[in-house]
Amino acid sequence: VVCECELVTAEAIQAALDASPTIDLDDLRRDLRLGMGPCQAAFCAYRSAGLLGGREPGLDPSPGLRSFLEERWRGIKPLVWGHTLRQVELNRRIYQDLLGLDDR
Amino acid sequence: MNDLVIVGAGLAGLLAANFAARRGASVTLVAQGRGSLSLSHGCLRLGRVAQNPQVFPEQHPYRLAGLDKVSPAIAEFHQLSNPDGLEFHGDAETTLDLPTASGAVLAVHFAPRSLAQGSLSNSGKVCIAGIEGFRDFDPGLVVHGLRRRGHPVEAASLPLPSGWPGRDLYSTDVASAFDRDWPGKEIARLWSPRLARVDRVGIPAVLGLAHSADILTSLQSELGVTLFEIPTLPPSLPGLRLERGLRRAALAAGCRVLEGPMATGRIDGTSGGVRALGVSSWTPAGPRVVDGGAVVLATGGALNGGWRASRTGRIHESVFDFPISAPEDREAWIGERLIGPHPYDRFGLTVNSHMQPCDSDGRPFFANVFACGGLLAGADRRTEGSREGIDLVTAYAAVEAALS
Repeated sequence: VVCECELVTAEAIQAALDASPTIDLDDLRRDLRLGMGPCQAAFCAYRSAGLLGGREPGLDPSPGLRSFLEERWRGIKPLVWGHTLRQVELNRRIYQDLLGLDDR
Repeated sequence: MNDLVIVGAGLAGLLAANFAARRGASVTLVAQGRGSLSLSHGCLRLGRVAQNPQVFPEQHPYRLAGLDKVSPAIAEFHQLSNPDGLEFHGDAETTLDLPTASGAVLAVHFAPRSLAQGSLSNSGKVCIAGIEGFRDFDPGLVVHGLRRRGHPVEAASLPLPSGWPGRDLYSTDVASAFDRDWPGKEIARLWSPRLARVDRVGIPAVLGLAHSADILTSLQSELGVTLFEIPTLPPSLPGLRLERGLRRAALAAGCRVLEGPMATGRIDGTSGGVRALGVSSWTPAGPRVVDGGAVVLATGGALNGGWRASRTGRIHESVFDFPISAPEDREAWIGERLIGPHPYDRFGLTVNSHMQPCDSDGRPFFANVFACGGLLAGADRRTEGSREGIDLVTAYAAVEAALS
């Protein structure tokens, strides 16, 4: 299982990529609801970027990872208070503080 | 009766509990669940407080706590963390450049041995190895990122011994299996052939929780290479090891820990409202009073619930309901992009140089309530790279003020 909120498995992602090849995680999101659950891609963005990179050895997955996270952010921007604010902060703890993604 | 009631069991609260207990105070730590060390790389980042403290404005937590507290707080941290075998390396003036699981580079001041050995300024041929079937660390991402930054590293993939459960593994699943029964010989037999001709190998941080120091030593000698760990997606073992070490040290020093219930502040009506009594801890069996001579709030910021933001744009501290100032318009709280600075990063409780929470006129709400850590206003911990340093130095200052 890559996305626990929406129960998207690695097999489902591989099958979707076989059916319509893409290097854009947002395409997978539209196909499979990847990253659309309560955690807003906190865990699956990294895992699925790794899967994409594994299929295309020449591809650096991190720009795609960053733009996928920014795409999810656009959707929740108007709702940032209470628990959503905590969720946003969780994602930033993971991707900025732990994984070191920066805005470059 | 406690000398001190500390609320919050994250890095700041655990440090405060240790500092106070080591000074002979009777301490109860009350926490609603655990802090966020499971999200932490388990290193200390101080920002440029040793090189250039003048970059921090007067109302910054470092300046309020006092720059003279930085050195003694670091010295005491070393006494606390090393007995658990974590062996922190580094110093306050220079940074270790450590790889992350996305292939970025994190500059930290102090790192446990298993991470410090991954410093990118060390020489030798480096290989980044994933563990087959483990989702929360991708060597491809690390290798791409490090190469882009000019570090020529190779990728490898390492198998786990047979007989592991056929379900998704979290870092803590692997670590606790290794803690229970470390399969050193078999791991070495499986991994050696895949790690020929490299000097250093970076692997996901899964080498145990309780016995990580011994496991690292044993595996290095079996494989004949220098190993280093890279923190994975949460739960992040280096953070959990630090949590475990500090918690055990606090308990060993005599601190009581009351974990689980929500805490609400109690005010002494007979004092004319100038003193707090302690907190009410809302256990399933009803409220339980935990009173003390002073209260130290270490409840964290936006993530950990030290303050809560309502839809109407009001923000309140969670234990005593202290008001926290913020623009009424919620749009002014957030930045343009997720990965970047956000105004709410600086939100928090205003304190004076005694670490007492104050109203907008600078008057302390109570004479015997103090605050530290992520709850404090006035720092952009991410941009400064100062999160753990602020926790450490403000916890030190708050305990000193609370016990004086």
